[in-house]
Amino acid sequence: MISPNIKRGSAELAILSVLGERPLHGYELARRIETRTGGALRFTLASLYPLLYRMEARGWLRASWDETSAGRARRYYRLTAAGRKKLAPLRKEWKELFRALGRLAEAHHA
Amino acid sequence: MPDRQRDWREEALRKLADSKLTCEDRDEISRELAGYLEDLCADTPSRGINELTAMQHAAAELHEDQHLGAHLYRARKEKPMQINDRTKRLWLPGTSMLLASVGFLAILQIAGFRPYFLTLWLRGGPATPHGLGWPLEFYFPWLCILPFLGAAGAYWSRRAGGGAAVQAMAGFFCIFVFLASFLTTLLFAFVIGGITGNISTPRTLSPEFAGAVASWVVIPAIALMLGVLPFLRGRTQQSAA
Repeated sequence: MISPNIKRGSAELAILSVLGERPLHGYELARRIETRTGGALRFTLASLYPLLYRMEARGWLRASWDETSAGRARRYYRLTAAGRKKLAPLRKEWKELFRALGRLAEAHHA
Repeated sequence: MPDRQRDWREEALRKLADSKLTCEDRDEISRELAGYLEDLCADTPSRGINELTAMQHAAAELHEDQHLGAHLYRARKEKPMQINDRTKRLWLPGTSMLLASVGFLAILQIAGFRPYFLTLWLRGGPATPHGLGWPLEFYFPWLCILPFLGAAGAYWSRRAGGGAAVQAMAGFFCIFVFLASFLTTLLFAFVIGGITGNISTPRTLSPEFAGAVASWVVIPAIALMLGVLPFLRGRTQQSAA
């Protein structure tokens, strides 16, 4: 079953997936998502941070200040156990959505 | 660079000035946003733009949302109602169906509906001096509604993403509670009987107990199964397909 909150879930899935690889600070995270999706998914400061804080409040992410290789202090986000647990059903929902859309597109062509 | 960093920090602080954020939160968030904007400005080579355009982009991002402070405040303070999967898939449907079942039974009793009594003779009969029978008690309207409650519990659990086993448990939830009540009663009877020395032997206790278990656990379980099974079968066929 595909959740009606799928649209909001797409941004959450992108963040959880990318942070699942390694901790990143906000700008790195936004850039990585943009690069990975070929520019299709782009976060701005105003769209990224409210979402990050919400996910942090939910316990999916944990943030801590750390230094970059250039010696600048940045707030790094990493996935918590709850975030990892959330990632699997979100991925499943998205696969289901794409399969459903694929079937719909094939039916339209036929 | 340090000047630019200070500028972004001050600009971010000004942006958040009207929000309900605490001083500490405002300080930390402005530091973080300034870091983002700094990185955005420093990243000009990879984005193929000059420094001035990058600064304009950064300023545009900071001022894109008029109510950024309010949105960040709400996001930070969000305390969502966390319902875990087990609660959604088992406890909620199970307890709801239990309440519905007990509620319906209570309504029947308040309305003066009388149960149907029957003795299931295992040895001998009513006229036999040493006959052994289980006294059974039925509320037929209640039994008739149980398949629907079992189906509703299983369906609810399925909608919440429960697997076949969890669906079955949600559907049969009432029975687990009834059985636990009987076992607890039996345990107390033995404990209190042991203390007072007035313990009933299992032999004399068993017909009433077995009759009650049959009336309130076994037969209702069969009624619930009528509602739960089609869901589980449907699921199996769907998986096979």
